[in-house]
Amino acid sequence: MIYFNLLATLGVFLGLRKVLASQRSPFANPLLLSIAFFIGLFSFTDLSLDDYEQANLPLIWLLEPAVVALAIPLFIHIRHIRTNFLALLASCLVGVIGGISSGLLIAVMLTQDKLLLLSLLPKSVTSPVAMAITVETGGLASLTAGVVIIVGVFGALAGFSILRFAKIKDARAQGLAMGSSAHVIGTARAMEQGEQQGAFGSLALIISGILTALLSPLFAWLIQLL
Amino acid sequence: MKALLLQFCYLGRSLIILLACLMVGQGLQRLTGLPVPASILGLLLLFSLLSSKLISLDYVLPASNILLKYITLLFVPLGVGLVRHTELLSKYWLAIGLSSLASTLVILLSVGWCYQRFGK
Repeated sequence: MIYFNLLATLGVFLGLRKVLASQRSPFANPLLLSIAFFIGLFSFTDLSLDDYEQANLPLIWLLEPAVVALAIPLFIHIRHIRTNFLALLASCLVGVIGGISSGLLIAVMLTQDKLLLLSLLPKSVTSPVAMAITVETGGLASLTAGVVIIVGVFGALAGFSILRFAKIKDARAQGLAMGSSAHVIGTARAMEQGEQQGAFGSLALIISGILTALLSPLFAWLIQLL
Repeated sequence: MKALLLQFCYLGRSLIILLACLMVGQGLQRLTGLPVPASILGLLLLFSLLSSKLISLDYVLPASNILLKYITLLFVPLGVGLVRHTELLSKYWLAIGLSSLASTLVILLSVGWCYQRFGK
């Protein structure tokens, strides 16, 4: 009965979410702690990771429809921002280009492994989009998926402290920054801070995802030239 | 009982619309060879259907609300899959860590600053 594994994921995540609902610490993050729990479990016991992943495939299948569903927050919130749309698009474009190039520059200084560089390329956008990009450009999808989670959890944990430190206090700018840098995981954190942060987080994650998908072939071509 | 059944039908309808958009996205991607993920094409399709009022928002809300509410749950098995890459991770942890740190900082600050400055 390998589907016990699926129930375990649901149980651990929903249980942690319930228990941590009143906690303010950024480390009280159900996603982070659920992953840590299962990584610990599979590192220290002989339980089968293959069975676990097999049983949890339904959750992976739901990722793509969930990305399609992001059209709804986009549709609901785009009415409020018509006048600022150009500034929003430009900000996301600056973020996407700056994020990809800074990440690649640092990585290139430390390694020339093209497979790794290609897998790191789409790390700031949400998993289903990042994995689709990595498949297109020739990276390793499962590594990309992991790095995307690392980036998202880091952004969710440290994002608001960094923004406050840099005196970025505008709720819309904060939401946009969280959605662009830490995709869905950052947006979920932004939603906790306020409705406006959440709305702009969803917008940024969608727009940055699209921009990254459009620009990735260019960056992948540059990596191949190395 | 009847109300519950009706709810279930609405949920099914919204899920079918989402999946249909995704499938058209997959078809479009295969036909045109665009380097854009099928799910993003599906998103843009659903967005244009909603904007042109061909589909009412109520039709897609039930499944979408559930999916978006629990979207972080869907990432758990992917994160657990990191166990498979301990070798790559221990070899390249510095490159992966510093590169992730740099990208995240640059995006947070550039996007936040740009929009705060020009988004008025």
